[in-house]
Amino acid sequence: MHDRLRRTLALSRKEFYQIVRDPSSILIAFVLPLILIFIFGYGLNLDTARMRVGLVVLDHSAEATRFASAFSGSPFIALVPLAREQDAAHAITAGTVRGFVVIQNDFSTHLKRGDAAAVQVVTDGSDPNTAAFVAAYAQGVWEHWLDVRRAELGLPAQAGIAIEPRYWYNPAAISRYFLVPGSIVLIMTVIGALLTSLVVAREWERGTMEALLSTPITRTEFLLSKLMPYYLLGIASMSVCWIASVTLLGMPFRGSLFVLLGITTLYLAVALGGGLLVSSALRNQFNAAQAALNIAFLPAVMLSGFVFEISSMPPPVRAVTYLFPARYFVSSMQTLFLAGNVPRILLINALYLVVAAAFLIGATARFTKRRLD
Amino acid sequence: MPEVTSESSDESVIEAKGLTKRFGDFVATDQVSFSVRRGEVFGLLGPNGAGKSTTFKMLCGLLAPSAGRAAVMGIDLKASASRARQQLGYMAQKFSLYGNLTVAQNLDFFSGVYGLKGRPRTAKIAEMVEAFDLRRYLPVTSETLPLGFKQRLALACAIMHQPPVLFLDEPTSGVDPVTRREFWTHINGVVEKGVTVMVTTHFMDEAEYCDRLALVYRGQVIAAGTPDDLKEQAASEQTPEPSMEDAFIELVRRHDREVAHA
Repeated sequence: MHDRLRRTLALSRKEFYQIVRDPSSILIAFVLPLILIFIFGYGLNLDTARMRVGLVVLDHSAEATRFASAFSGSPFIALVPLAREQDAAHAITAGTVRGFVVIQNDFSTHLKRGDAAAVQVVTDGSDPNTAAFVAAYAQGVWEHWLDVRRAELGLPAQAGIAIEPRYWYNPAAISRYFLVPGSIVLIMTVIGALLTSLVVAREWERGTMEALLSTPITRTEFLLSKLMPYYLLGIASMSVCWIASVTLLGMPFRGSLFVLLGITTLYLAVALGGGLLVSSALRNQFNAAQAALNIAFLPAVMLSGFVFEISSMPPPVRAVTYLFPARYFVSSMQTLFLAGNVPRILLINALYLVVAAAFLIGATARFTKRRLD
Repeated sequence: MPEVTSESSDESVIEAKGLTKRFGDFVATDQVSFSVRRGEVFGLLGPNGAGKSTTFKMLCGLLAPSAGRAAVMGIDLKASASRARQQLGYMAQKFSLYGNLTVAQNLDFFSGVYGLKGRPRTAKIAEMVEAFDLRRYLPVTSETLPLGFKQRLALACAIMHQPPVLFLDEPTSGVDPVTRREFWTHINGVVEKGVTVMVTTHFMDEAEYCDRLALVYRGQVIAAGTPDDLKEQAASEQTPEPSMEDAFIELVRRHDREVAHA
């Protein structure tokens, strides 16, 4: 038993030396996280700010002019006055505005009569996110202006429902709060799957596997020595991510650190297992890295709910997301950062991760050979 | 190096019995049997692709035999591989240490993997550094070592746990004859401590260093004995005193003729 421990320690220390001597692993574990966190924290922002919107006023009545002026004075919109509809169409094609609003020449006539006045809103549907925003904004301005006008004319406020949205867990609806936990998942995936996809293949490629196989090292010792150093690297990287998110980006963290450590451990077990599996099966660094990229990294970006909301995917794609462990970690991370320790969500995620880790590490053990053939 | 505890001097340390390896239809090693005694330097001599490397790898547990039995120190390599591996040192044909680690880190790693600890471990590493003159290379990345020193380091790593049996797979391929001779003085030093050495080679001068040889050709042992035995077997009227190379060529040709006649 002592021999086993000593051999495992010797192997792990060797692996650690190799990590330290290879600047790329350090870059991936500590510099990449910071870069990604800043990109997702500051650069990639799904919130819209100061969009250029064209305004064409064809009705020159006092009422239309007042309505037009209601559009200015918003911090989100930069208004571009345009003379004719054709100019506006031209501007949208050229990409100088994201949409435009046309106040038709019969605006005041309709308004006086009390029937539907014509305000046309055209948006650039090639960016649906922005288009929806422009449309909703125009709608909002219109409703607000009507309320104000009624009050001025002494008419009773239109009876109905006033909707005041509140965004729970993220009151200011800041997209960063939603993106940063996901980007941490991405970093853990890179460390877990991409780095370890190289480590067994490297031993085969460089011939060092032959030397290892001639020693008394057992399969378990070999696997442990590959898992432990990269696990510690992953945890160190998670610490960097967490500190950067909470201090530099001002992210809330409402769960407990203990739960974070637990769920990170499970996800790392999954990612490390996957990386080692492709590495042991393919025995070629390039192929293994490609495989890890395709089966771990890309799903972590596309199918994890990190950027693209899973519930808005078509059902077949949604079903596929259940197969990729990243989705469970993304959900856990968003929960821990924004909502807190929610046992019902976290336990289900943890359970899935345990199953995935057991499967992947078990499969890796099967692929780990104690001989050259 | 301390003496390896010896029980009886003529016991067989390495044993091959009907050893066979098939890769699909191709038979790389065909019913090979021999035994190596304690303290011997036993050579597998043969042309490239003759199957000597396959035979060799089955004997040190790197390949599983398709049939037959391979044992080291009486331990079956199939039944208790890990225990058998503790008894042997192995030096691969290709440099198989960690190229991006330093000489010191490689020594440290292999001593740990073989279960050395504490003061004996430090002492052993110091002894190896001394014996192979590695001191000034300790902080050097091992892939940048001169070839001769790479081989010394590989040998040092292979014998650190004082194995009674040492396996060397074409240990001096790619080095000049002077370095080869110098490397063999190190091997002979190991042999003097009672270590049994098994070596594969296709160099005639290297074959001369062996106590006994098995000539491997087309997967079979076609001749065996001391270097002088083999020369004697190959002697003919035209060449009454053949060199090792002459003997090698003659024995291979004779085998080809026998196969053609059969």
